[in-house]
Amino acid sequence: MLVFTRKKGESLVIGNEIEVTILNLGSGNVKLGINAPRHISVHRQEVYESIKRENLAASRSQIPAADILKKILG
Amino acid sequence: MDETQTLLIRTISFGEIEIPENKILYFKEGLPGFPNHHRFAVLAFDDLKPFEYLQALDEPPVAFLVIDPFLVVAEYRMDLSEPDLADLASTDSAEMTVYAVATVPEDPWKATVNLFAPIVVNEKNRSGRQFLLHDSEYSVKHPLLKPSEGSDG
Repeated sequence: MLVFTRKKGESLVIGNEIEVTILNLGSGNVKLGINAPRHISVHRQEVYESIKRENLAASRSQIPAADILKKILG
Repeated sequence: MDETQTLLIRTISFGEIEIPENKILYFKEGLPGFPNHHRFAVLAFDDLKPFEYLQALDEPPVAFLVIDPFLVVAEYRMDLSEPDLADLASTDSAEMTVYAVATVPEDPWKATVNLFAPIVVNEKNRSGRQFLLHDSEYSVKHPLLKPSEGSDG
């Protein structure tokens, strides 16, 4: 992992198109601003992981039996 | 006269199926957890209602049970940002179809639906993407059946 030390107001540039700026430093947290092209999606890691996990669980779904299907929205 | 091109795919649950080329949906980014699956098709079967099947056309074969989220929560709403809409290349909701991904475990009474991360398809250019609704209260695991409907009360 690359490690940088940055001050408030300073930035990092990733590739040609992504810029990450340190907006504020609190006690125990840091506020980041991200400029990225719109096709790059940016998510909190734990939120993105929860969607990954759910998609993997969903891909192992069983097709519900007919009587269950009738109950759904029934 | 041109014949419609079709793609023959092998599905886990429905055997071999022919997909007409004009039914293929393109997911540029894949789905979270499935970054290498870019081509999908929505398959509808009478005995699967109210679900449909979002079948991946790339290997390895995977498929998802999907449902219209507005059937689950009538007042469901998603506020997509301008960049999101730009990514979909459409601002016209009439051109879009929204799907929520269902998870049906071995005990089907515990079935849930992911209302936090809907899949939106632009029917006009047949592109799709799964969005994360960061500012919403919707659950990743919204129950599909009320507990009182369960087999053991």
